Amino acid sequence: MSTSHQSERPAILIVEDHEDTACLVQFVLEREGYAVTCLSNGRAAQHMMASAIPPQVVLLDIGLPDMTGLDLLRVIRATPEWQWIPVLLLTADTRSETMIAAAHLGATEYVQKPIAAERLLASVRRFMSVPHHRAERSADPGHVNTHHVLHRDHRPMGA
Amino acid sequence: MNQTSPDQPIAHPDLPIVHVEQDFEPLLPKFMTNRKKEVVTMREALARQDFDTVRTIAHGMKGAGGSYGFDLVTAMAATIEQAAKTATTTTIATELELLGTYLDRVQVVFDE
Repeated sequence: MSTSHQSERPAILIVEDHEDTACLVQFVLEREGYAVTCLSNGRAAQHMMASAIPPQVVLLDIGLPDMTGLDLLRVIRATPEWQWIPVLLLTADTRSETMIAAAHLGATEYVQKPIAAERLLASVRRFMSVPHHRAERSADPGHVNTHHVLHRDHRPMGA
Repeated sequence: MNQTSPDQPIAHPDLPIVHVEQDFEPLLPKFMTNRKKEVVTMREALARQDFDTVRTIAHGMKGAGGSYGFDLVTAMAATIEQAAKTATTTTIATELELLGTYLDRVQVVFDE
């Protein structure tokens, strides 16, 4: 596990198995002052969920080696302390069925790979100043971008 | 990989150029080394008709390339990934050759 989580800086968890992609995302976020923890598989993420304070935002790759990102998203949404955390999916998979499945599981936003640093930061910033349980009410519907925002309510659909 | 600062003349005008954010400079050597290793690994996988390995590596490269500014790497990796899904050996071999040459010849210009 690679981590810079140590202060009151806003904490972000990255779950991404591609080393260079994770390294770049971590670099971009740390440069902005975020405290970043990097994990490369779902099992490590589940271990963290059982033992660590939840971060403010999770960046989750869909294609993990030991489980899919969507499976991990399902676990996150079923874990009381983590269920409201914004989860931004990192993926090069642009198939509509994947996006629909992600939306049904409670994904918050979709960040397409290749990752544009400014677009990533804009997405992360949107969820840093809003308490998790109030994100839905505080969101300005005019800001919803249907290409990237799956839904503002972080609960799984139907919950 | 050749590296050039923005205020220096391009050393080899005949070679492809990629502009990369200056702050990313410390990350570039590992990025390039890993991509070249992946080309070797994909060639080896292709030789034994292991298309799943080719597809998996190409998929990761597709996401990483453009993130660092190497849009052509993403494009070539996407072609390889698609060809691996249909087990199209000739396309994979051709793209791997192009990709290997590109990675050897590309010049990086770091922008402020």
